[in-house]
Amino acid sequence: MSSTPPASPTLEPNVPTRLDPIAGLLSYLIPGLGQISQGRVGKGLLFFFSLYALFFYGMALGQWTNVYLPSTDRASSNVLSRVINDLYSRPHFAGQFFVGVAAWPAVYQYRQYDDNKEVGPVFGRYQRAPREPEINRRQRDENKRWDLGWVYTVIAGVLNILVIYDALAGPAFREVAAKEPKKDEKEPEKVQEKLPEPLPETPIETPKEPVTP
Amino acid sequence: MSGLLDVSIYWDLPLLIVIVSLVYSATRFDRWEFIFREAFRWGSRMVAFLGGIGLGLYVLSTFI
Repeated sequence: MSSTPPASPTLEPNVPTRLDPIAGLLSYLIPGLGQISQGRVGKGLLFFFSLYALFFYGMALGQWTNVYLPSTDRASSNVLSRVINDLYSRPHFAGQFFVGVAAWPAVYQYRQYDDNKEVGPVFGRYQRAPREPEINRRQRDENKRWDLGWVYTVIAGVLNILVIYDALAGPAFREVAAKEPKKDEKEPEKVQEKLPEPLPETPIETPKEPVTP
Repeated sequence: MSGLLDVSIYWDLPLLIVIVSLVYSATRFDRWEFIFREAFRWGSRMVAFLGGIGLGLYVLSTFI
């Protein structure tokens, strides 16, 4: 017979006990994929459907034109400073980027952007920065839902940061099994308390009552 | 259209509240019962918070 006690049925067996960067990377690429790779399939599917529903619902609200990174600083030769300047002009994409591969077409469109063309090479207009007059027209003529859409996409991206952390290090609050004493371990010997030695019995002299005549 | 449909952006809020509550709670816990309990708590808080703001704005715009 095995000497190890059976695992408590209340504890989740697949929760990572060490940092799992591969699962974190997978959850960045596709929300929930890291959890699925760890065996936490239910949670992974919850993340996948929830975050993609939020992201694409937001895109649909924005008529599929609100996930992009504008190329405003083409003059700068330094790529890093160019990206930082462009992110400064549209910080929304810093949040949207964390939804994973669903936002990568925007990166590709940004890299391949040509102001002289109407569409990008592979994805067409999908996640391509719209022109200034088109943005102005939408802001002026369309209802508020168009402007609300990007909020949903940003929230989806930011929530995925929490999902990545969950895949990397497990949930924030986890159950800890109660420590059971091993059978082999002997109980520590009790230290006998040293009691003070009893005092020698001494007869107590009681005063005799005076005899009265 | 008039009435409630005029404020149509508010019809998009329930999806946001449900998904944010569920996903956030699922990153806190791993057991479904805890996840749903925490999601209900967060959803209630958000509804109360947003409803409070909406009520405040309604009172301000109507009586003041």
